[in-house]
Amino acid sequence: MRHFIRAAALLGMLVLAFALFRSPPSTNLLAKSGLFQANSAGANALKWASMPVGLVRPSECQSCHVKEFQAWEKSAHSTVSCASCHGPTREHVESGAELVVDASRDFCGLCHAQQVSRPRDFPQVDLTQHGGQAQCVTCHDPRAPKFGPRIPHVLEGRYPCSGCHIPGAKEPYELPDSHIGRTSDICSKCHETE
Amino acid sequence: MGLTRRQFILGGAAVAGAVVATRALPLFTPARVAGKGLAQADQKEAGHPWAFVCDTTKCIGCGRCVVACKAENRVPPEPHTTRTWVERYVISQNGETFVDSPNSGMNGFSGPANAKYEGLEIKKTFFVPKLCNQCDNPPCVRVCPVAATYMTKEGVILVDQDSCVGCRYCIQACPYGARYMVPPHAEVSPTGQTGVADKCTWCYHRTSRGMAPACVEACPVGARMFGDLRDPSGAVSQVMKDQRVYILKEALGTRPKVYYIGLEEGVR
Repeated sequence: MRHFIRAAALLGMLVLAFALFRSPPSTNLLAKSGLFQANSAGANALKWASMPVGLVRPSECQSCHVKEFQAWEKSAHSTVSCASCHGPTREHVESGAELVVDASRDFCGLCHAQQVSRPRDFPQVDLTQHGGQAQCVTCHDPRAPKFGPRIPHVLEGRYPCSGCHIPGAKEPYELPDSHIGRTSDICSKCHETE
Repeated sequence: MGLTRRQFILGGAAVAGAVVATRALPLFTPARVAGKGLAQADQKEAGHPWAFVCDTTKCIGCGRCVVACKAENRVPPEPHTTRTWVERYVISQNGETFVDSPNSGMNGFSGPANAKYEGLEIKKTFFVPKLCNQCDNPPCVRVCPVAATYMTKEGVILVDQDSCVGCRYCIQACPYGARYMVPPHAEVSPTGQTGVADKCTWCYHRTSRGMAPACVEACPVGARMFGDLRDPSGAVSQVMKDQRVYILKEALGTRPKVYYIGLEEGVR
């Protein structure tokens, strides 16, 4: 009888050894059994998920900055999120902390300075030539960077522009807030007659 | 007893053979043979729905993504570390490839256009945004000796910085250079922990809330896209359907989930 037990034990061990050899601890097995994660992985994922948000979406800017949002939405810059230029905006939304925007030529140049590596159809200018050395925002409204509509009437006898185009007036007489204080010779730099 | 020792051993071997064969059969199912992977089990259950697309034909190298990422995730500014970066590729007429990424591209590539490559006959040049590929077969996860890094059910690789011992093995293991060490004396850090490994999480805190990652939000030209592949009308699903997309270092078998449009030969 004893020799049967010995042989059975030997076989059993062989079978076990072979089965173990056939199924090495694969990564799947480890992942399933949770060995690939620290014990606290679930809690840790929650920790990552609950990190504070810094950059808000433009839709959150809309409720306060109605005019700016409307102008931006229609402009060539509508693909550029508010936060892209204004930076992390959560603090501003929550506590009204002031947002400072870099208005230097170099800041606009981050995107629009001439660069051979940029897609050819992307609007680029030579910063050393374009518009003298004035700040870009002197002529371009960052929320509507393309130049304004053409003037549908003759200019003779109608100067100054601000005689008719007044802040708060109805279209087409409205003068955008960003334009207040501009003299007639500045108007013609961007707005051409038809 | 009508059983000899020989008969017993032969019979036993037959039984053992049958047991082992049944046990081993699942190892040879087509799915396993075709593509074994860390997350396959999870993938079947929940799927890895999130994907990221970088469009190198749109990227203008402004670096707003890098700035946004660093602000959003409190990535230490000094010494310079980053979770995402932009590379400028310049391929010359005689086939040489030059890559640069000054300060990870966070200050843009402006300045004298092309001064660095003056005199070089350029055949092709473009920008390539880089970030963690959230590989489906992640080498960084495999090598971690303390199991501090893992894949979530959405397919994002995260680091449990409470468990990380800072051995840097994962930083060595990542073929894309997507991981970095939070400097031991950093004043700001993503979780407040320093001296630990950190990496892009695809802004897990934003994407879990249904928002786009900070770099996607900040990109002015739509060169970065993030989406859920379960949403067939989503931007990423559309791109995956309509465009030819490429992945980085495919031969390594890491199965990245960041897909590139317009990738040129020579981009690594």
